[in-house]
Amino acid sequence: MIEYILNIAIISVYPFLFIGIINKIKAFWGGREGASVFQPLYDFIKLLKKGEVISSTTSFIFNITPSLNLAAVLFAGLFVPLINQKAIISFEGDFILFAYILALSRFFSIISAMDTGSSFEGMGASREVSFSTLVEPAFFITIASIAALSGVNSFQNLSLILQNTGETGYLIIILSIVVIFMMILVEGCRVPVDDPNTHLELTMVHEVMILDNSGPDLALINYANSLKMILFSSLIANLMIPAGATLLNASICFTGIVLFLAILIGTIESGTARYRMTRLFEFIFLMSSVSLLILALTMIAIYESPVGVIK
Amino acid sequence: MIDTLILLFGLTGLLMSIKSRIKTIINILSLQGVILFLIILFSHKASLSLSYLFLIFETLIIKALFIPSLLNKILLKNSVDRETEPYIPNFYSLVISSFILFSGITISNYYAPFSVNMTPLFFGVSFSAILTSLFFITTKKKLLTHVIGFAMLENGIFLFSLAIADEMPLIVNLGVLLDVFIAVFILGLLIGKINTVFHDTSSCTLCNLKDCGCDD
Repeated sequence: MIEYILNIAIISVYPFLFIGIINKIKAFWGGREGASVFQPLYDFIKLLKKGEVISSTTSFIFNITPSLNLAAVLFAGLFVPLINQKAIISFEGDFILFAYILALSRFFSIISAMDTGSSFEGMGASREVSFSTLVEPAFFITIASIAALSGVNSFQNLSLILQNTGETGYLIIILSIVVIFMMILVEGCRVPVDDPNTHLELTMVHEVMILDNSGPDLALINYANSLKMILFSSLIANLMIPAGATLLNASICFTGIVLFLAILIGTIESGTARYRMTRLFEFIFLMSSVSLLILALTMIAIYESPVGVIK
Repeated sequence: MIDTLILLFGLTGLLMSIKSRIKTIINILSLQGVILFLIILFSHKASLSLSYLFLIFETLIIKALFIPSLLNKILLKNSVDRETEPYIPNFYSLVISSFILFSGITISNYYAPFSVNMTPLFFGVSFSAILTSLFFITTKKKLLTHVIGFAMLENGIFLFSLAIADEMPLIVNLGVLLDVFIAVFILGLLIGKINTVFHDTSSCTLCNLKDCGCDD
């Protein structure tokens, strides 16, 4: 029971802290003191109190999208095990539902961007679609190979079996962490892929899609976006936390890994520039290449053990 | 550990196909040499032998240091542009190379039984490294990138031969070394020569060579 309460607490608090820490690290590398790590939370509250301006050319889609977006991501969050390898809801094949619910939220944010009738937002939507067509195969190949190897068809306990498969299992874990980390950068719209701070429409992807949103809508979209990053980070944490850890140890490990990822993302953002559009597709396809390697490794492992499932 | 290193070797091949600076590609070539050295270090438990020492010398000195520095020297001396100038966009190179790598490993999976040292991963990665480097050579315009592609090919063949390194006689090792040495040396000279005559090292120019003696 306490795990479920902790999971809900993580879903509601960690996304703000995650973004806050990233900004703090960016400020540190820039030689500034930076805002408090709770600043995203203050911004969220401030935006919730504001009124909003809605363009007269938009339809109901634009109105429902922010809430639908957040609802979808929160729902997806129920399937991801956060603390102690326990998800709130878990059943066979939940990762397929997870991916499709995230796709639903993406679909709505894309048509909402098109709904405003702004040419900039249409351009952002087009870029978002082309990125997600490259991201989704990578996600499915990675998770499906792990599932095929471990014989477990849900996020829960996915890694526990992998950790007992020797070198191949560890290799698959490392490569999956690489894939999921790149996925955080793409889905969270962070620097090499997208710049969350830019105000030049021509270079933006996600930021340009939410140009027309303001007030509570913007707050919900920002929260949903950072929650998505936390969900992917917790997938990484799940792959790394050893089996059989106590609740306290698992919580400390989880927090440490999420903190480390935030520091890493902040450092990457300070150290690299955003890639130009043509290079970006190579970067995103590299994710699929690595996931193909995971698939190949899985096939080797399955071929070597005639049972198909490594115990 | 060896599996990890072999996979890293495969990933360097993918990296090679998307990097657009020649200098970066030369650095990756040097990294491949270091990875080969580590593979030798971890795979041989036998006591020090002449063949073992030779393999260490060949990877660490020749592949990781000598050839990259020679290529860098050619790069500086001929003031080659830093871009690789591929015929097709790097994105498609990456797609094709990753499918070569994937199918290389997958197909080799069905060639069981292998010997003790030659695992499917070993075979697949080295085989696809050879194919990827051939692809690399055919899709880049510059002569220098062709030389780099040839050195990549060499690395692939070397990885291939490492699986049977215990039985490999010294003379075969020497042959492998001589091969790459002569290739890099001669091509280096060739590029130097071409540069002095044409002031350009693009293989595009070579297509336009004609008999220009009979000017009526």
